[in-house]
Amino acid sequence: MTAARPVGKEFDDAELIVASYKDPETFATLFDRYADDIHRYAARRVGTAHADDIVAETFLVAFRRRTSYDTTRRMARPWLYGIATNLLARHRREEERLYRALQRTGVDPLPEPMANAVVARVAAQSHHRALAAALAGLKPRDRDTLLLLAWGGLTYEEVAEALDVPVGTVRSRIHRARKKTREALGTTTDLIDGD
Amino acid sequence: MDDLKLLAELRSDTPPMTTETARLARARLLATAAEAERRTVPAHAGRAGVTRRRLFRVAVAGGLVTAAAATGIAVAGNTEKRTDHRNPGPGVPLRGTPVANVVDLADRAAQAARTRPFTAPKPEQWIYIQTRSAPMADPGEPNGPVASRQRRTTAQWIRADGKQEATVDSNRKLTIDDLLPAEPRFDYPYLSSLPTDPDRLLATLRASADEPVGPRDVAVFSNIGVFMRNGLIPPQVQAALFQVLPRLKGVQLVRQATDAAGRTGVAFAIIEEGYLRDELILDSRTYRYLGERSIVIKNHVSHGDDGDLRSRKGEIVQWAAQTRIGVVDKPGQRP
Repeated sequence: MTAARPVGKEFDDAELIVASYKDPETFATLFDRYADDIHRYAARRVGTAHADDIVAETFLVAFRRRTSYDTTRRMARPWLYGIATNLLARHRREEERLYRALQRTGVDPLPEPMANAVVARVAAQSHHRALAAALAGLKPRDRDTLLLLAWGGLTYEEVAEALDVPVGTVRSRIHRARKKTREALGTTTDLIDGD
Repeated sequence: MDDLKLLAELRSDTPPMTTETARLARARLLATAAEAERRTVPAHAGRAGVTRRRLFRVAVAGGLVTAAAATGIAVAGNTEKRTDHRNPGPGVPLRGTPVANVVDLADRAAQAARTRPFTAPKPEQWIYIQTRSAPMADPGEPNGPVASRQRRTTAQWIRADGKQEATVDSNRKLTIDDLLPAEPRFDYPYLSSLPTDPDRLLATLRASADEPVGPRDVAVFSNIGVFMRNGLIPPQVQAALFQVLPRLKGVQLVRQATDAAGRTGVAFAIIEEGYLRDELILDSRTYRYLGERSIVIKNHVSHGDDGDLRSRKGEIVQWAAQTRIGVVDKPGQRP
């Protein structure tokens, strides 16, 4: 604990949510803890412009549902990722279009142009194209599951919490999704080897 | 190469959220939170030594709390005539002799409540309540006096199953939220579950007024005010609530009291912390609930964690009128 902290203890997420019943502005602390992560996860899937809306919307939805939050879950992170993932579903076509563009052209439309990133993006590697193809072809629920793990950084248990499914379901979805990504990468590898 | 590792590299150069985006999103959240705070019961913990009632007061949307009365002293400044209001239903006119005392008032109000027409709402219907109230003079001092010459009107809908509430903002945008756990509860399932026998009801209310800051009966009085202000109450429970009031220690009759809509009636009252008189105002003809007022009856200083609150005699710290109550099928509708 730093000497500067006025109060001895930091509230965990569940305590903050309970405190926000009576003192709603307390909820902003959850924003400070997780908004950056949620934004990055959303921007990686559908781009910055949609991510801006999704991050704002995620916290508004969470705020309105705060009384139904299961406060035995000390960390709200999976819950917030779950809400963001549901909001992302509205942009499914756009998300798939972006993967296909990368697959087809080798140029990833994401992240949006930032001068010094252009060169790297033009040089997108062939295995990125293969991965994009695989991602575009996954069932939406399998893709959500895989990307919560790979891009959201959630554990299997947290993904299960986020999507409100049993851990076993997460495992089988990941298994199915990775079979596709490996197949896609296998093809590329063969091509590279053959060059 | 490991597919998950390759996947982790894909778009790993995604830029972070800009500070402007974060600022706007956070501001939207705070605006929603502030809106919720305006109408939540109760509001945040504040000063030590401030009563529970006071906490309630902050909360309620149009916000008022209980009322009070006093020793038969006519309340100053209540010279306006009773106006025809739209508070529902015909009620039972019990004309004639003036109210003798709190027991007499309770009997008349209970009888009127029992004979008033009432249809229980279906669980998916919504209870609409319109409130006219005097806003806080200083929003930064939620426990301070109201601006006694200003009024605002607020509307709220609470689903009859107690699960959701709805409000409209100044742009007439309807927002539906989960109904927050309130202390005390005032949702219809709870109110309709209360005992209809006054003695049993009194015991229940005393038991549920946990951790009162002041005397338990003052907390019970305050809670009855919350029910009347925010809830639709079945007639038999309403009658029992009126019968409970004279049983509370310290309850007095105020022969003339005016609500925030300018309607003059008769009130039950109780003194809080020796300086604040809470009035629960009823129509003096139909004995229907009109509203509430809390008035400082002597100069007082409350000491709290966040400083002292000075109250001057004559200040009104809460003033409201229930101008409409009814049942509708959808939030946003008015009866």
